[in-house]
Amino acid sequence: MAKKGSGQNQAEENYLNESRRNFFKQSSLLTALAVTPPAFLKAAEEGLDEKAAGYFEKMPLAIQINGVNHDLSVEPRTTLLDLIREQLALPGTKKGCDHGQCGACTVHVNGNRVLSCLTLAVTAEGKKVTTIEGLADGEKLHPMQEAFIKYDGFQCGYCTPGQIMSGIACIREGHANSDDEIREYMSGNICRCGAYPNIVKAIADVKKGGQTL
Amino acid sequence: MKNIDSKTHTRGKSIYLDDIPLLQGTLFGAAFGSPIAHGIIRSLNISVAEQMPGVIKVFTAKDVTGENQIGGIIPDEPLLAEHEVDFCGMPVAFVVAQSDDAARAAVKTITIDIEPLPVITDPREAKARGELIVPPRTFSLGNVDTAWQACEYIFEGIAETNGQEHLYIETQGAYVIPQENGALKVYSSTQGPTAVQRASCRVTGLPMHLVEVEVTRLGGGFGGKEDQANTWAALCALAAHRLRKPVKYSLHRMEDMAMTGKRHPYSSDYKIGFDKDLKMVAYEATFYQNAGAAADLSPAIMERTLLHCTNSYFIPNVKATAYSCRTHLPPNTAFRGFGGPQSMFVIESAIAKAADTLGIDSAVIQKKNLIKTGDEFPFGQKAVSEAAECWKKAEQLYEVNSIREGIKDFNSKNQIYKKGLALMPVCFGISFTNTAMNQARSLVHVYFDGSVSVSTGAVEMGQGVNTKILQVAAIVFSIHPDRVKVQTTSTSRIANTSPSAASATADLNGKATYLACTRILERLKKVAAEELGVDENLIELKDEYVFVNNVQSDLDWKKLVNTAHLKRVGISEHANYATPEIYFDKAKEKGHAFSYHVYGTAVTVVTVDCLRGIYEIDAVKVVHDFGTSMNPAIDIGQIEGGIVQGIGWMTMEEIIYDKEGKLRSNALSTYKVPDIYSAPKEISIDFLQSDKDNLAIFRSKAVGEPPFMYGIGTYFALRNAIKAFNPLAHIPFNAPMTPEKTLLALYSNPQPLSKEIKRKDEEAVTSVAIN
Amino acid sequence: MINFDYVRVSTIKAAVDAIVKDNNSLWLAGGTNLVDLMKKGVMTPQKLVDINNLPLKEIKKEGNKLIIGALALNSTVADNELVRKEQPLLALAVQAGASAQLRNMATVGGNMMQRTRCPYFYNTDMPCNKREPGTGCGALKGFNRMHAIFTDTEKCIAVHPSDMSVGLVALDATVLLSGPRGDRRIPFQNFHRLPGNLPQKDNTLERGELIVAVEIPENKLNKHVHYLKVRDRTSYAFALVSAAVAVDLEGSTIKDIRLALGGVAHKPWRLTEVENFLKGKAATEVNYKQAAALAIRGAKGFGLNNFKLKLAPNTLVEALKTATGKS
Repeated sequence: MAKKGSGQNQAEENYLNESRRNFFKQSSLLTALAVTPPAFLKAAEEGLDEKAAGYFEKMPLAIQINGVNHDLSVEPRTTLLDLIREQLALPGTKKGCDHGQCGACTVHVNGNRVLSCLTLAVTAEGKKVTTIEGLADGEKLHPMQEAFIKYDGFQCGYCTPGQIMSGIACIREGHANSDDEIREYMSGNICRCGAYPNIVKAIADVKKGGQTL
Repeated sequence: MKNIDSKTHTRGKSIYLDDIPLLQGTLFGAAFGSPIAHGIIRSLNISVAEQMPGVIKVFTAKDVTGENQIGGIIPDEPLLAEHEVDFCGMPVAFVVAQSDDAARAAVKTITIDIEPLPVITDPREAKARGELIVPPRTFSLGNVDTAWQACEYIFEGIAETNGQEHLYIETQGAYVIPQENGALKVYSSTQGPTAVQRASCRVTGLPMHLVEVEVTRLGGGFGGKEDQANTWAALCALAAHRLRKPVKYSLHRMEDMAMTGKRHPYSSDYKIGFDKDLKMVAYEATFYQNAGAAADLSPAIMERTLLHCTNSYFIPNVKATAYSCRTHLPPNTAFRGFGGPQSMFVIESAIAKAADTLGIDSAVIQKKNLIKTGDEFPFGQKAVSEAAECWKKAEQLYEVNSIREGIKDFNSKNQIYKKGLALMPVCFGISFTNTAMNQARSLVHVYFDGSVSVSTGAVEMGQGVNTKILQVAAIVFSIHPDRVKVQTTSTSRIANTSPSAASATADLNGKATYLACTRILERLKKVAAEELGVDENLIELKDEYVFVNNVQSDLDWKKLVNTAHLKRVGISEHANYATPEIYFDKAKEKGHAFSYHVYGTAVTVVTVDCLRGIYEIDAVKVVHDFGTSMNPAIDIGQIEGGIVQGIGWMTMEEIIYDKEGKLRSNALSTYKVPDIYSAPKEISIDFLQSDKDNLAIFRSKAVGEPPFMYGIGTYFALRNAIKAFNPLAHIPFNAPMTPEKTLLALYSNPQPLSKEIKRKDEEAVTSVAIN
Repeated sequence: MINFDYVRVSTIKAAVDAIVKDNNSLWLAGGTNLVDLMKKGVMTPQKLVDINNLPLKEIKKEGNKLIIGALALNSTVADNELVRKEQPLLALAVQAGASAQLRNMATVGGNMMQRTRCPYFYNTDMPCNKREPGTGCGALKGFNRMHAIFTDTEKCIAVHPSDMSVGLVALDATVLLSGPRGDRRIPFQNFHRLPGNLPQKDNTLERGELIVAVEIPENKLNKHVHYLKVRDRTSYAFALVSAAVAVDLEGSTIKDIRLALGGVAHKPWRLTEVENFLKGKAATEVNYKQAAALAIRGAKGFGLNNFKLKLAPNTLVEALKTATGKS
């Protein structure tokens, strides 16, 4: 599954990940069905281009997650969130509402923050996805992770991965120039514990640091 | 010290229920909830569901191997409805399938035929029909009936607060794995591992030692997972017990919102009397608690409503009665404040009513009546008060008079924007009101490599309790915090736990840990004295070393514990802590209910856009009685978070049930919680320095619930801003003050005009009786 | 979520053909609304035709028109220099919608096509003439605080949730379509519709017609603009009421003006009559208040949304004042 392996940590990580969730959620009818030629034939007949998945069929998906290339097969209905949590055993990205209303599932796709719960995994074909697990370089934390620790930007921690992914993007997009602007552009991430004041401080501090994120 | 979960939280490595690696063969559950709020089940059709692909079994009431009952305080809540349904979403069947999707698809095929019965959603209606969860209770002090005669002014009216959805970002869930010999291992997202254990045992018929409940942490609880985690764990336990397969159920957001109870809505009558100097003479309040369809924790919440009915004030004559009213809503439950905020809102409304009528500032009345040390609460306990200290410091530190002048000036210069100010004193009692629950245990192991393991009954849910417990061990042993690990919460290591609730978790479990560590320390000192050949009294452990008479020896922590082990001295301890001094006599409704009170005063300033009814919270400035905070960073976080949640309850969070008892605000799009913009633009927190002794762990007072009630100040600040725009505005005491209600109030006449928008009983005609 | 077929296309023709061939198919763009509706079982297409690879992302100037590709992301539009300079009202309106994450996913065409957020439409166990014609309108006597105050029927009082569309309708945009019978242009004002006897139909598209772009004519309305959105939270919530204002001021005289309201009707609510009233008049609060009174004529509350009868005119006055610097 995983193609890249940079040193022992990565290998160990992959091993852990694989053993962690060998069993992923599946719709009982669908398990055995892989991508089948008829879907492509049908697509060809109809003059459609590129790839197609037939009803109850899985779809091939080449995707890069946290720098690792994966060749997978997924049902069209699988969201990017379920793919990374269930199939790729990266549970750092959280499912808070599953309807695009809380921001806990925020990840970066090609560098842009999106909600993975409303993204069908198949639409991320050929794209680069970064999750919370992909931020730190070994033991060295990303500046935004450091800042969230420094300013206590969390309580229960459940929304934190989404807040951090969103905070990084907020700065990258150039929307962290004032506390008010940070609030406006971070409003898609709900924190029920109310750690908001510290989240604003953390993002403002990273912005002030001026590092390229 | 930083929260010990900092690293894993920010790396996405913290494990919550839904992140637990699943065992091969794990099955997935999904509940079928009643589509209507009240009725007799005529028939239930699960045959299609049973035939759905991937479905293993559909459980109904008849499949319960033990007792079909999960009610905690009162056995009035079946796990699965059998004859009757009592609220929309009440679990009737539980589908277990090979995948989450398959289970949910099967749930959709279940049909039920219910003969509808009348639906009650209003607590006063329930009371009128005699539908009470428990008999009413009355707390009294002095004699109200005669005291009215002595009053110069009397005001009465109605005050109402709506419920509040917990909206923990991690939804409810459980994962149960069968063990050998018929045992079960239950992972649950619960604040009450023992409650989950008890419920699981009850429905399976297993004894408690065969069911282990383990909790790593919660993605938020706020009271919503104190009792209401039981259902999902019990369902999974029943299925795992019967099928001998791991079973998991993680609720979807909309299921969670529809099927679980919330903060209790209250409708209350108040009557308050003052002498000519505006000292409170008498106060009478009747609380109608909307308990929902089953008791859950309602009787205890009702009790705290009564315990806090006078908030931070001393009133010599009080009569407060509370009714826990059975309606056909999901059983309402604990939520930060536990009935306290509801009664505090009522007395603050009574004060506002008086101030409005007399044309003075509420603060004049509030300040005059703050409770003093030695004053008696209506339940008999004598106050050890910091109320006036907090109030005065807030007035001075935040220059309340100049804020007031500034607002006057602003309001005179601005037509469309008006500012409002309110002060909110808070007095909140710490302890479970059920005396028996004020106990905790801690299991401390020192390993011979010098590392330390601490297990308690505390559940970490963001409040930082594990960090504080770790601090206790590190401080007592005087070792580096890295040597200490606080373990997951497991009923096999710590039995008979009280839930993590009542703000008391750090106190109870911290004190138990303190006891356990101290006992080990005493034994270690003895070993050190033997090793060094000196008197035991000269020994002290400091910064990882043994000190003799304040001089550092060569004997370090690691060597010391290893020596102790070789000498066969026990370096493990299991300690029990029971809060001293507290008791309560329910027959007399008197006692020493709380080990101490937490005090504070919040100054809230808001700006209302009087064209549109929207508003901003400019500032909430607090003087808070922390005692001596053992972790200021964590405690400040609790204050800020509590304020934001309290503001949400008072402003934008509006739960709507229709007349049929169906939840209409059933998603984050229709039920708004504060976003990052809704937090006050400025929050200032000042630590009241006090040398009074208290029973808190290291004198660091509990901080979980008290700050929530600072949010009530926002309601009254908004009210004052509205009055600045329209002095005759009709503003019923009915929280939350949503933007639309604000708008209607801004343009209201003294008597309500638009009848259509009345939700419930509007305020009754009020009277000012001047004797 | 039920499963479905999935095809990915890269030409407009293939996209149109795929939809025409299969009645149970829908196009998938950003998916922010469609995927949500599918999860809730409100929409159950058997096939999704992914159009994200179509070359419709460009924002460009052609002659005196600004052309925005249907697949341009909301965030791209909001941050685009050309849009901000020439049609700042549109940038403000887009910016007011949803959250940063959603704007990174949602497209211009998808934003126009999003369905109402009426809770009765969203809950499959409730009556809703839009979701299931003939079942009735649950909101009419129910939880209707978000609902319309301008409507031509009591069969449906849902509102269109898009902020962007309020901006576009004010700016006299045109929608460019490509369908099985060729290309077509619709004035934006005629794109969304009132419910009438067909509450299930949100717009005037015919089956198989794909939104290719929106076109905005050049104007002198870019100096004095404001998009004022009133909602339960300061951000990240649908509008209770919103007002889009763009004014061409000469001194303090209103030379030209565009006005529209959101959150008040089944479609973005253009206020042509009010514009005509204000044209040539002085930019004063008195005139704005008269205009607002005119704007609200014919409005009707349904109970819990009565406050909008007050809120809508107030919002309009405030937006006018902010746009023209009279506040």
